[in-house]
Amino acid sequence: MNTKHTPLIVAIALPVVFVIVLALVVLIPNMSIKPQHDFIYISPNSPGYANDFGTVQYRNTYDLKEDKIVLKPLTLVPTPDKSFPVPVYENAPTIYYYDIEDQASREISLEEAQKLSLQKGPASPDGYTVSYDMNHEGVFEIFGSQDKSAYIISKGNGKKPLMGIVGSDMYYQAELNIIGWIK
Amino acid sequence: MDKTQLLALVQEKINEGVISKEDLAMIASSDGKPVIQTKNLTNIFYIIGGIIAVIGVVILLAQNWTEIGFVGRILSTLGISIVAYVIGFVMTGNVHRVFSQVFLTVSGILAPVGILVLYREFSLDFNSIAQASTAFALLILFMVAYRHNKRNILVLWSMLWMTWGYYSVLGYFSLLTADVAKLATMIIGISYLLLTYYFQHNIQMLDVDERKEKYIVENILYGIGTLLVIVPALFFGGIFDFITLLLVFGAFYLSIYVKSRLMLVVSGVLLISYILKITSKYFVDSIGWPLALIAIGFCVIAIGYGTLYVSRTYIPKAKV
Repeated sequence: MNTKHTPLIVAIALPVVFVIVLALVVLIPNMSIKPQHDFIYISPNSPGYANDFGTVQYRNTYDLKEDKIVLKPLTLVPTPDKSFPVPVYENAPTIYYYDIEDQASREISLEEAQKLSLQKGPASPDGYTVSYDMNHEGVFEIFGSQDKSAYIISKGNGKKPLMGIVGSDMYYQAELNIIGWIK
Repeated sequence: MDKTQLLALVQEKINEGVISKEDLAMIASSDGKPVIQTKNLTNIFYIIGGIIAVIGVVILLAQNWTEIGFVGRILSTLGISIVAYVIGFVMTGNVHRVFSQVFLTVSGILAPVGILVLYREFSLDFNSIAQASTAFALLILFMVAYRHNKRNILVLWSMLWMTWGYYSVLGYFSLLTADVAKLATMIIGISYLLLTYYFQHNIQMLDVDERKEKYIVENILYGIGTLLVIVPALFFGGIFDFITLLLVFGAFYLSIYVKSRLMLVVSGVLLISYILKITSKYFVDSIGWPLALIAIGFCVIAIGYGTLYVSRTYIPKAKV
């Protein structure tokens, strides 16, 4: 057997096989990720917390009673002194409906949301959860690394990025505030 | 021994690399001093010219990005790259050795810049798949050029394109977590070493200058390959603290086997890094920094001396 070209063949095959094996190990569990349930949420950049001295403070947030959305009053915290900006008070954060199949969000009113039958999270009726995934890319900070981050939906070892979440382009990310999953 | 026999003997010694053309030129000169070869001077001008041209393009783009317009931006990057590639490609023969390689290098530097500019002009995202496509297209183009004129510089460029393409594919599949990136780097490092071994043993150069160049390229690639395999292992920790030591000594052995001095030196530096890491990780708390530094200092001296000894004893001076 001619072994002259063996180093060349192994040198080319090694990275190719590595990529294929890695892709199979990582991507196969992800292929089984097929969530069925839509959900409603408030944008992660909604400054809707009473102790958050942002420009906007909400008087209410949302909660579930039985399987319906209800307004839940928040205790408004006054600004400590005059050096803090005077907050603008609004009734409640905007509600977004996330279509899991189209991977898109649309704004809905509270009245529309109240017609939906919801299940409280964090897991959906079919066992999926949404989280914020910080995926560090790069090689030892030498070749220019980056933090590729996104909201993901996951179950077991499989995960899939969730596109079209309103406010997901913020620099600082928080856990997505899911009000409830549509049953 | 008549003149014909003598010339045949000289020719044989030139081919073996025992004597060089410079040695002959020195003997031939009346005062016995080395002659300043106009060829070397011309080659220096080629290299300086290439560097100035690339700097010129960078300044042109930086200062006149909007003024030169779409055509100007494409012509000054991709246009020059294509022209330089064609010139480097068609200039065959030893007489154009440096000239051709300078043009191919200019082409290699400007090609990805030009393609990036092209993507930006069409408001396209230069994402992982675009980068992988670019890298593999350039790899094919540079391999075609290598097949045509066997320029050594093309081996370095081809390795670079291959590496870029490899990481882009991994990035496309979002596979580059920190640990995977380390493992991926070790894999590409092994590929570097194998490809260099293949290049070293299967590609023959007829000309002495080309053989010298090939020897340098081999050394560079062996050095880079060693770094790519062992540096990620240093960062792993756990069982890799032991595996790294095996890899470092493996690299020492391999450097003698493939007769690469740069690989030997890189292995020495990596062994020093390894000792520093292990000492700071496991021994500093028990023996304290002062004693650790004394021990490290003597280790560094011993490694330096050992490397020099191994280099002189087992790796003969570049025989090209």
